[in-house]
Amino acid sequence: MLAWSILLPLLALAATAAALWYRRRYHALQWQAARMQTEIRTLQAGLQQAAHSEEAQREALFNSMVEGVLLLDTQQRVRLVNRTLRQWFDWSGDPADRSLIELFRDFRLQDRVQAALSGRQESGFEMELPGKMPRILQANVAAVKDLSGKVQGIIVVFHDLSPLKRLEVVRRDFVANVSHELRTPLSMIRGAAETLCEGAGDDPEARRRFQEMIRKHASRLSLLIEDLLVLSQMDSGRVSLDMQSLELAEVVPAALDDLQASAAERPTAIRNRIPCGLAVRADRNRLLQILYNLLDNAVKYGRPNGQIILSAESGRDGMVTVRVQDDGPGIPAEYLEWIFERFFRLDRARSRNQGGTGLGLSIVKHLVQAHGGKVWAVSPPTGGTVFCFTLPQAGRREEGSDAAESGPA
Amino acid sequence: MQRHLDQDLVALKEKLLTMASFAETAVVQAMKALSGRDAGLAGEVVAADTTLDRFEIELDELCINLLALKAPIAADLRLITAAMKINQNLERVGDEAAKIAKCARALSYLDESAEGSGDIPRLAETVIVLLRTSLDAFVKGDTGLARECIQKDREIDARNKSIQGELADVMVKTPHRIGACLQRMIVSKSLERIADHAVNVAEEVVFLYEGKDIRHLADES
Repeated sequence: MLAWSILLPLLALAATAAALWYRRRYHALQWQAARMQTEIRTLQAGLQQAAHSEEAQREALFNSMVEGVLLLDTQQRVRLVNRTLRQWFDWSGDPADRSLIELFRDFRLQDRVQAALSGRQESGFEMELPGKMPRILQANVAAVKDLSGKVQGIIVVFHDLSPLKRLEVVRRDFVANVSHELRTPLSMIRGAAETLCEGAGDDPEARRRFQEMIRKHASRLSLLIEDLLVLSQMDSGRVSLDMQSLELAEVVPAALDDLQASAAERPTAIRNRIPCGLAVRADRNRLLQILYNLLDNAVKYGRPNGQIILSAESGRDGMVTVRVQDDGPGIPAEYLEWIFERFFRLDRARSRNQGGTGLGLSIVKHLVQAHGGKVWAVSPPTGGTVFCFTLPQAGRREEGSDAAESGPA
Repeated sequence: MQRHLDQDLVALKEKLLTMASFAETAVVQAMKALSGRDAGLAGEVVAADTTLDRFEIELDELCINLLALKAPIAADLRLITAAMKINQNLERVGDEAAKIAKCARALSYLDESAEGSGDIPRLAETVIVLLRTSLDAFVKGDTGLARECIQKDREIDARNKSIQGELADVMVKTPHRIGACLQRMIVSKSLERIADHAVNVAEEVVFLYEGKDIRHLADES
């Protein structure tokens, strides 16, 4: 009995102590579990974020490529298409899961994909993309293989060759034009020289005529070569501009002096309506060349006994617009955007008779752009043409315009 | 059973589109051979016609097998019958392209300027776009696009007629050019026939997706 009375409280005490220990342990464990859970959540979020950002990076890379990229599975169904390719091809709806032939309808592409699937590598090929903006694309097909070498899918990369092809056409036309323009005066000179050698020189009248012919064509040839040199300098960025503040009303008379003889011959009256006090930031010699080329054109293609009006005004955008207006037959609207192209001529025969090289307006365009301005022409249906160009106004945005001194735009 | 049929129909459509790609390319290449006076390219187009003939036979077999073995109904049946007709039209487009290529070959040997045929390249451009659009309508299931194609037919007929008239005038005025003019007349007529086939394809597209037969309606009105 005594033993029980001692043992019972002891047992109760032990039980309480054990309960307390378990409770504390339980709380510790619970706290630990909660901490671990938080850690797991943080880790999970971190992993998810990493995966997301990796995917976002991959997607950004895939979609920012200038090439069109297409990923196909082994059944020739589309898995992935990047943004560029979607823009080039006008597919209605989502291209994913659709077949190659349905999207491209090009058996040659299908043949190459088939070849790549069976392990053969074929060279790229060119395909024409019809539509409002026709393109020439080069398609390269490659198989995507796993570590064991088994084909997992196909990747097709499309390069847009259209700009290259266009440049090729421009280059070919330019070379053809230059050779033609050089050959024509050269053959005239040779013809005249040969005729002189064969005895025509004995007759003083004939001799004078052929000598004049040689002089005229030789000077045309040298003008042409000079213009070509200017253009090539501008193309290679070797033209440096000595930008300074120039009073337009002071520069213009120098250009008019050079044209006096040809204007009197036509005859054409040049009205100078440039207001005083209008200053531009430009290279003096280049500005003179721009004015000379435009005024010379106006004299050549204007009406005999007509008049040319030269005017200028400042705009709100810190630019000065200069206008050269003639009263000639005008330029058809569809040609207005072409006239600044090299060797573009509305009337080939007439232009050559006038001694033009076909490069004058192209030089004007380059020079104006090098000054940070733009040039355009308008030809109202009533006749006449107005050539306009802009130059930065001096004294208004001095600090901004200094940037234009480094070279052509 | 239906799942199998679905897969078969997808395969049928894809084969038909591969054939369409061959037919389209044949017309484009034939016109290139004509404008570039390229006898070699013309020969290739003529030779490629056998591929289209083979496609026609294979597709016909495929359609007949599907009809016999799978007993399709409703839209599936319409797809198979439309495919058979489109198949036939595409094969004929190939024949016309080969005809143009033969003319291109003959013309490439004739040493003469392109006088009196100025409208043929422009007609060809319209016809190629029409053929392409009718096939786009088939791929997209766009009956609006198909109806647009059908509208174009009259314009093309009229242009062919005016080219035939112009060439006849040239023949009367310059008898030594009769040979070249006759070849160009065949080219123009073939282009007009290709447009007719494209319109037939467009009509099948309307039948396929709307279940309406609109053939010859324009002729009656």
